[in-house]
Amino acid sequence: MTADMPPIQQAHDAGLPVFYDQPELCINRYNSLMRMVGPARGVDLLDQLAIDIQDARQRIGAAVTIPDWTVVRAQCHILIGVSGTVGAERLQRIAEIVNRTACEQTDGAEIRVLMPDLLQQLDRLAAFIADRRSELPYE
Amino acid sequence: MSDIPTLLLVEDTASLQVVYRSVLEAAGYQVEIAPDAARGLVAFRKLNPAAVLLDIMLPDRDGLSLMSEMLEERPETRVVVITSNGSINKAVEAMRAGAQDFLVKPFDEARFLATVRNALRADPDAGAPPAQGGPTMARPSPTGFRGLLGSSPAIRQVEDRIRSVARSMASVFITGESGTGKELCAQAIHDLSPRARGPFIVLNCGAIPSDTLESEVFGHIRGAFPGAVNDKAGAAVVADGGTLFLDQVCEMDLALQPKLLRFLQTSSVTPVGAARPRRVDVRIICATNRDPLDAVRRGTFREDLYYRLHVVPIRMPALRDRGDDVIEIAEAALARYTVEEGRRFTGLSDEVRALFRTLPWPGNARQVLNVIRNVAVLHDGDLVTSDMLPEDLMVAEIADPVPLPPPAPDAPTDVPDQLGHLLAGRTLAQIERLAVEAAIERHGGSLPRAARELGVAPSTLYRKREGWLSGE
Repeated sequence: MTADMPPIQQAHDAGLPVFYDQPELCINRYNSLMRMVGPARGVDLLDQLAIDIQDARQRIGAAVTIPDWTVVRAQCHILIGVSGTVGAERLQRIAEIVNRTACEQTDGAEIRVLMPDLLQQLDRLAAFIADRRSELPYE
Repeated sequence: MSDIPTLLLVEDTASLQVVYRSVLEAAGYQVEIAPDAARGLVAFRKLNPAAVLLDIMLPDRDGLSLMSEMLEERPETRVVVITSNGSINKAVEAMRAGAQDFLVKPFDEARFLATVRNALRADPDAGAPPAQGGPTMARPSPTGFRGLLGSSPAIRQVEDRIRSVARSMASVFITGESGTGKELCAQAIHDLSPRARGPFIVLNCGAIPSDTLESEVFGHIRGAFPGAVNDKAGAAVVADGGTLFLDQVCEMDLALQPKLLRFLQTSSVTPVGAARPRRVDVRIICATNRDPLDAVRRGTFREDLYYRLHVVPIRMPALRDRGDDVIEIAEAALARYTVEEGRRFTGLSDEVRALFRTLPWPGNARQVLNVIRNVAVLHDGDLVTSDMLPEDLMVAEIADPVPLPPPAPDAPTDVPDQLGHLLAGRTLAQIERLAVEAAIERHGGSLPRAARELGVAPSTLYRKREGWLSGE
């Protein structure tokens, strides 16, 4: 993940909050987390993060299509915790906005505007986790 | 039987299970994890845990209904519910139903541990359901605000700094405006340090009379001065093995500063009246809302003491520089005070959110807490609306009025004639309504912004508009 910031003109035009003041990843937070859990659990953590991110991506993508706002809220609840803990601050902020909007159960237009960014941030976080995992030994 | 408390964590997200287990086990707890409500209930019945950390959103059942079942079986159970931003109303519901405290994801290590520690310390009868059933107004734990709430880059930088310095013995010098959370910062450093199990002693150098400050810091022996009827351990001794937080350090009397410097250089204290010093092992954190270098320049703070203390500086950002943190802080405060005051609030209206983002908040987070407390004490409802806010909050905003937008390029230049034409034949009340509605339209429908331009409180515009709508 890098600090590049693609434009979000659609969300801005829709009057939605802009979250590009948040970095994609706070590397200090990530490093601090990995130091705290230690090397042995660190491997387990990265494996579980990969699974949780992939699972959330599939479920939230399907739920928005239906739409099922209950599932969207549940997945955002997970993403807020996971992304915030790892330091993926932009993803965390997007998930918070989607979570709040899903609570209001609108027609979903606002959420659909945010979905490309949410999914992009999920993909980038997944790639980062995979990259870091590849540096560690496999049992 | 082991004295190590066993905690039951009911959390379905596997990666978060790893993190929470690591944090809790490193702090000395035994942890049992259940990934869903059904297994959580089984574990609860088997283990009788010291406390339950319960995610509100579980895959098989609502976390609150699980909590109710646990409390029905064992009313003394201490439950900390875990929610996320956007679900503050759920936290309120949980507190009413008997939860000891709540955490909002994502939470950092220090806040997590402080909440667990305080839940375990709490009076076991707090939050017990009433004999006849029904909702419980659990007394909210004071720990809800001990963490540094916020997600802005500015506060994240502070959190990173805290994590970096916590494990060191270096002195930390915290600066920042009043109400920015300097003591919270110091507490967080202590909680993340290897000294977390030791004492955290706070000494407000500005609040203690100068003639007793030496005794407060270093202690005294019996008979050292009139009124010293017993030996007294000073703050530096009480903090042995832990952290001594010197708040308002620039207010310290000049006469005491050399003795503080000596203490920092030698790690030993000599109580007033004592013949011999005593060694202590203390980590120093200090804070001030003044400019310490200015105090040095004016001669009220020793330069050598400043440089001795100013090893790792941390600057607490003002709330106006922290983006949306004001909303996060306000919502957390609302959740807590709603329970405390027995109200129905579930959140802030969009208008209040927009207003809060524009205010300068000279009192910072403490001011936000006071405003929300005021609202919860004096009002009730579903959402906090602008007319519920204290008048003096609005006056502070009006002091810096928004300038009128420039006239359109094709606007008539003979303004007095044009205005006279517009107003002719209208009553004063009609003219007032024209002016108000025009201001509201100029500001996209926002009453608080229109009120600011017109130099009145938003509540004034709300009342007028209600009157017009009702046909007065």
